[in-house]
Amino acid sequence: MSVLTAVLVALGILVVIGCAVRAAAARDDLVRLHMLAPVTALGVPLLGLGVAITASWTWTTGTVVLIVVLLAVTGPPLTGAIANMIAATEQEDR
Amino acid sequence: MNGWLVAALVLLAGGLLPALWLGATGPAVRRLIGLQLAVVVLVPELILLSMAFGQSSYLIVPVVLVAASFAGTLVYTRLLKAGG
Repeated sequence: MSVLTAVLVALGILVVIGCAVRAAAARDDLVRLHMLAPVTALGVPLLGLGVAITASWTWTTGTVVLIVVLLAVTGPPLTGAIANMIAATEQEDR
Repeated sequence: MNGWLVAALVLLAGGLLPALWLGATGPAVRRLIGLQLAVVVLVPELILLSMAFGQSSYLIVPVVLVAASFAGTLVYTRLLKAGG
């Protein structure tokens, strides 16, 4: 594991752990939802970049890029669907 | 014990535990957010483990996990919205 890879992987892990702890500590569901975005948009891509540097031009890199893109693409619609559901249930409670 | 395994263990302890705690406590909405957080933490975890063991064939598991969790979470939101 090269220094550059170690730095990228460490940064990615820091982002993921920071968001997970922040989401667990938050009191409001919408704040928790907001903590998912940095993980899929920043944390996992940083980690994927670290893997890509190590694996260079191989199927491993291709698969990791596919995973990172899939996670980045499916994240926002899921967050939107959950937020929609929260709004709908709050509407009913009123 | 290589660097990838150390990174995987750190992520397991620091990222998955809060997500599992969120997913196991509180009202249904909060647990669903915890489930979604557990998935986005588990995907990089599985990538790190496949690098740690030097088995790139393991990477198919996070690919399937992302696709399956997308469908599963949408079904949960649909059911929770209907159930009130």
